[in-house]
This record gives sequence, structure tokens and C-alpha cells, in this order.
Amino acid sequence: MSWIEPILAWGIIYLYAICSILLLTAFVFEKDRLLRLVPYILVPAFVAHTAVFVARWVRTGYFPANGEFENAISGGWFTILLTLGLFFRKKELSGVSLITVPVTLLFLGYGIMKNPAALPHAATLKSSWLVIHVLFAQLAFGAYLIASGFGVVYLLKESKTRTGGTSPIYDKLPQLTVIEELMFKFVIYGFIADAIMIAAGTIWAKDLWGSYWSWDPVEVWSLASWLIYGLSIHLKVQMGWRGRRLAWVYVFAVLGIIITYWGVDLFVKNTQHVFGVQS
Amino acid sequence: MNSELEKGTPAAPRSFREVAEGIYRSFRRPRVTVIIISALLALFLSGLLIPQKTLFTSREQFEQWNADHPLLSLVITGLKLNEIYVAPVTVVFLALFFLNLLAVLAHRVPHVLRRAYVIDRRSAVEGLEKVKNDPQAHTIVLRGTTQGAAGVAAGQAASFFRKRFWSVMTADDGRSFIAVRNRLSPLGFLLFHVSFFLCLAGGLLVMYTRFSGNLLLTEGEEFQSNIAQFRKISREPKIFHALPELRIALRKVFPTYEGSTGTDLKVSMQIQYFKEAFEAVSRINEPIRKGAISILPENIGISPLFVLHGPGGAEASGGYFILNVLKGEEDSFQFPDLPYTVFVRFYPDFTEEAGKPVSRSLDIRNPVFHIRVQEGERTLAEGYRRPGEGIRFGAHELSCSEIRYWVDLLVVREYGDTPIAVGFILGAVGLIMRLIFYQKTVRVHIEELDDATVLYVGGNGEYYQHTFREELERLAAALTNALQQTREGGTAL
Ligand code: HEM
Repeated sequence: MSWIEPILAWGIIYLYAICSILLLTAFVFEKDRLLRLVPYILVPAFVAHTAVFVARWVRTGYFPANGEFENAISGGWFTILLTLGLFFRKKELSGVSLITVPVTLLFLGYGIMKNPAALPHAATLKSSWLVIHVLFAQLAFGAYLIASGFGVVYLLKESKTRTGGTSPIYDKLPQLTVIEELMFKFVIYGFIADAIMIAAGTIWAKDLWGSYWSWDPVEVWSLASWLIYGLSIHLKVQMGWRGRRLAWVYVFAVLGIIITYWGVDLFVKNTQHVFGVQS
Repeated sequence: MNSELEKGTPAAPRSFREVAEGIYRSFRRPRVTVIIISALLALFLSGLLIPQKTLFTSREQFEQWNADHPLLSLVITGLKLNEIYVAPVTVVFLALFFLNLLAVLAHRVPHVLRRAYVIDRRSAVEGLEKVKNDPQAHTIVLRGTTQGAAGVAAGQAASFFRKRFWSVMTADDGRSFIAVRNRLSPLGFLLFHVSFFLCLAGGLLVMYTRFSGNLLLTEGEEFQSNIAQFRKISREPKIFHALPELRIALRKVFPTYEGSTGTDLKVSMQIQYFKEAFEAVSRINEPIRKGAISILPENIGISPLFVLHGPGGAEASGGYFILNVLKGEEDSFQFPDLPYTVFVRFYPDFTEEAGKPVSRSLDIRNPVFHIRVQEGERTLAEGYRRPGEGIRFGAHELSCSEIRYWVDLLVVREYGDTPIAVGFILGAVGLIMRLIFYQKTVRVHIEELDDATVLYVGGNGEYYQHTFREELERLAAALTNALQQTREGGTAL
């Protein structure tokens, strides 16, 4: 199986790249026909993605979350699963893939450049709490990403509507209120998964390092990202923020998560969290 | 109040109570919460930009940084910004956070109880006829009427909602009711926000009662509840100084490697906690827990037994020496009262690659030492030796006769697990109650006309108005259907 894995992995990357180009072109040049092509590429890509995900799990015997490549495979799988779920519920919801597919592509590209091979399963990673931690991190990330996808779609459609223009692509998107509600639903989903992720992470940390919380940069960023979403919920529920303002919040809020995963290295060198795991 | 009068009269001096109430009122405003959380966020994130004490690998490095940035370090050290997570400014904002939360929660309790229909249930079903004026309300007309038809329809409609797990509260007139889905959902707000206090209590308990220290034990060695045996004490409790009586006899260490990655580590010990003695195995991610104590292996290495034979073969000195050489590092040891320093490198699974000694893995399968004996600057002997093979210098011979493992155990004693665990559970339950099972309310009012019975069905849901309107449409259609079917003699309700 292992020889076919890289072929499939590269196949997925190319297919997601094609999807991303189609999506971008469709939205920028307002070509509805291109958008309609997307599922025909995304579905086979997802099937191949599932095959890599399952094959890796079966081959190593553990949930694929060991190193950047496996994180991208499993995290991306949840994101695309949710995206396709929306697709099949309502074709018009395909708009969110404008964000989810390119970001998944970036994660996969980064992962495959780093370490696509299966790494030995370090003792530090053998913990059920870790599995819960990673699983919910990925669910949260997928949901937040979709929320920010809805944010972008909302802003695009809203500015089109405001300027009084019509377009085959934006007219087919659901009503603004529907997009806004879907955006918030995914935020809620992500927020709860994120809370469980942090709680499971602290319990794991107590088992592995002997203390629940050590203000490690990755811990700080993930708490901060969660607080940002908590704050945004307050802005909506208590202060009545909605529409464009809220959509902008969710377009940018996802940056917190991306920084947690990628960007901590930019700021500090010492973190106990090594996603590449060479402990 | 008349504005002219207002202008003419000097403002009456406000009592202390009024001023205090004014401050309390403004402190409870949603904007204050947003500002406090944003400030905390900014402080947390600044810890990633301002070099934090804990992130320097050594004291020298920290002092070097301060020397390189004299002015900046003055400000940073002065305000303790290099310990941002416990700096006074953070503590002040954390205190404000919890005070604000307390103030808002205290104020909100009656409101939340009312929204969950725990109190004031009667007033919730007053004035339901206003649903007639709701432009989003659905109207269901049942043609033909009989005496008391409104009451009958109300009963049937109420049972329609009850069967679908809505709580129904009927008005005194018997012709109107509200049906509430997820009635208790607002209580989730209390559970979730109160859980922060539990986490705070747990966190403070941990902070004040935590003892953590590292014990280095070689297989066969014992810890006798003697604090002096700790290699390093990284945290001393501020209260509950006395540690429980604990003895640890280290039996065996079993590491497993794949290449240079440790894939498993089992450390078996005999533990005596007060009067209770038991055998236990600790692994990475699986500490031994007893009472408030947890014991977990942090690091391992080897402790070879080196014996020095003097002239005539008599044993001159010897002992187990704790060495940090497992991953290819060089370490050294000395025999007491003797002038020799022995430098050691270790190849757990020795082989040669391109004429160079290397270790195939970290498993001790084919152990070889590189030994260099020095007296001051002078090298007396050097070479590769397996256990049992001696290295000679002058009239002495040095050899390793046994290899044991040592393990660095982190011993932690802290209280606070229970409030933290309860806090997590309550928090999760509260969030799910509040955000997934959010509340929806349907108001039904029924009127009896000359030739028809009319039901007005309106309502509202939290967070998602559009979704609710769709649901209400479906409910109204199903209700119409059900009512009509019962009229025709079916039992659709
Ligand atoms: C000083 C601290 C805080 C105060 C005073 C506060 C207060 C409130 C209030 C009054 C509501 C609206 C309740 C309603 O109308 O239904 C609310 C909702 C909410 N808050 Fe907070 N909050 C605080 C901190 C936080 C934090 C740190 C988070 C999480 C990061 C959070 C998450 C939420 C969520 C998810 C909701 C919506 C669900 C609900 O109503 O319970 N809050 N908060």
C-alpha cells in the first residue's frame, strides 16, 4: 500500500489545486459554469483523500496525527467532509469551498514537503486524551474555516447586493440571512469542539508533563483563539453585532488558529508542542 | 422630569449608595466585559512578543538579553512583563474579569430563571392574544365550530407539542398557551460561566499547593521520603507544606525504541504511601496517581557499574555512576578520593559505518563504551570496551561489570483536580445546553368565531431567526394537518 500512498497524496494535491483555481476564477469572473464543475473534481479528490487517511490509519495502527503530513491529512479530511456535506445539502452552499479547499491544499502541500513518511509512534503520543485533543482540534479548525468561508461569501454577496448588481453566481447563493446563520452555526460548532480540545489538552498535559497548564506559547495561542471566538459570540449575543461586521470578524478570527499551528515558531523558539514530533 | 426645572435646580448631592449603584450598573455593561476580555487577550499575546523568563534556556542567556537591551529590560523587568502571565497588570485584569463575571451573573440570575420558566411562569402566559398582531404568525382556520371548540383545539394543539417534547404552559383562559423547546437551555449560561469560577478555584489550589521535584533513581535504589534526595525542586507549596509519607523502590526500567524514537517506557516500582504498599508501573502519559501525588518518568539514562582494580587486582573503588550518554553525548565521572576523571561515550547497539563507530538504535543490544581516562590534562588510556572488558592505565584496570538504567521521576503533589474536572464538565454541559439545544418558543392563541375556530401560531427562537421561521412553518403545517385529521376522526395527534 505504501507505494500508492504518495501517488494518491500528490493526486489529491493536484485535484485540490485545480478546484482552488476553478473556485477562484468562478468567483472573480462570476462564472457559474465553472462552479458547477467543482463537485466533479472535489468528490474524487475526497475519495482519494479518504483512502490515504484510512490507509495511513490501518498501516500505522493509530489515528493519523503524527507529524505535519498526517495532521494535514486528517484535519483536511474533516474540513472537506464538512464542505461536501454542505454541497450535498444545498448546491448553492458550495461557495464556502472558496476558503476551505485552498487552505486544505496549503496544509497538505506544507505537510508533504515536511515529512510524508510514517514516523515512529513516540511514547509521548500514546494517549487517549491526545486522540481526543487532536480530533477536536481538527473538528474545530474545520468548522472555523467553514465559518470564515461563509464570512467571505457573505461579504461578496452583500457588496454585490448593495451596489445593486446581479450576477449568476451571487444570485444563486442563499439569502444573506441564511449565510449569516450558517456562519454562526459553524462558529458554535467550532467553539464547542475547541473548548473540548483545550480541556482534553490540559488533561493530557497533566499526564505527560505533570501540570495542566504551563503557559506554553501554543497553549497561549489556542486559549487566545478560543477567547476571540468567545468574544465574537458576545459581540453577537450581547451587543447585537451582525451582518458585515460579524462576517469580517469571522474572516479574520480563523487566523488565530492558523497561527497556533504554523506561526508560533515565528515568535518563539521554545515550545513543548512539536507538531513534527521528534521528542 | 421637566427639563427647565432640571436646568434651574442644582444637581442634588448623590448619596454614597447611589454612586456605588451607578458604578455597579456601568461595570455590568456588556462593553466592559468585551474590554476586559480584549485586554486579557492582548496581555496573553504580548507574552509571545516580550521575551518571557521561562522561555530562556539558561540564566546566562536571560542576563545576556537584559545586558543587550538595557532600557527595554528596565521597563520589562520593572513591570514584570517578562512574567506576563503572573504580572501585576494581568492579575488586575483577571481580578476584574472575575468581578465583572460575578456582577453580571448575580444580576442575571433572576432573568435567566425567568427565561427558563423556573420562576414567574404565570406572567409568561399572560397577554398571549398579542400573537395575533405578529406579522410572522401563522393562522390556522378550522371551519365550523361547536360550543367550547377553542378549548378542545387548545388541548389538542398542546398535546401535539407535548408529543414533540415541547413543554407547554397554558394560560388561565384555556385558549392560549406557550410551547417551549429546550426550556432549561438558559440555565446553560449559568453553568458555563460559573464553571470559570471552578476552574479558578482549581487553578488557585494548584498554584498554592503544588510541590514538584525530580528524583533520580537507579534500578534497585530507593527513595525514603527524604526531601534531600530530590535532585531538583522546581516548585514549593505556599500552603500545606508537609508532603505525604512516600517511599519509592525503583525496580526496573523497560524502554522500547524504534531507531532513536522512544516508543514506550515502562517503569516498575514499589510504592509505599503512608501504610499502604503496592507495586505499580508508570509509563509516559500514564503517571502513577495516589492521593494528591503523581509520579511520572521524565527522562532515562544509564547507570553503569564501573569497578577500578588496583595493583594486584584488588578492588580500589567502584560504584554505579549516573551518566547522561544514552543519546550519544559524552559524560564523565570520578572515583572518590582518586585523581582520575573518566570520560564516557556509549553505543547501545554498536556497529561501524564507513570505519566510524555508530549506534544502530537506542536499544541496549550490543553495548560498547568509549572510555578515556584522564589525570588532569593528561590522557592515561583510551579505547572501546564492552562490559566485562577492562581498560588498563598504569597498575590500574577499569571495567564495567553491569549496566542499569536510571530514571528521572517527576514527583508532583497538588490539590485542585476536583474543581477543575467539575468545572470542565459543567462548562461543557452548559455550552452544549445553551448553544446546541437553544430555546425556541411558540405562542398559540385560539379564538372561536361564529363559523370557525382560528389558531394563531407565532413565536421566536434564539440566535437563528430564519431557521426558526422555517421550523415554525413546518410546525404550523403539521399542526394543521393533525388538527384536521382528528376532526375527521383520525388520531394524528
Ligand atoms: C467577565 C466575563 C464574562 C461575562 C460577564 C459574560 C457575560 C455573558 C452574558 C451576559 C451573556 C449573554 C447571556 C444571554 O443573554 O443569553 C454571555 C453569553 C456568552 N458568553 Fe460570556 N461572559 C464572560 C466571559 C466569557 C468567556 C471568557 C467566554 C468564552 C470564551 C464566554 C462565552 C460566552 C458564550 C459562548 C455565550 C453565549 C451563550 C450564552 O448565552 O451562555 N463568556 N456571556
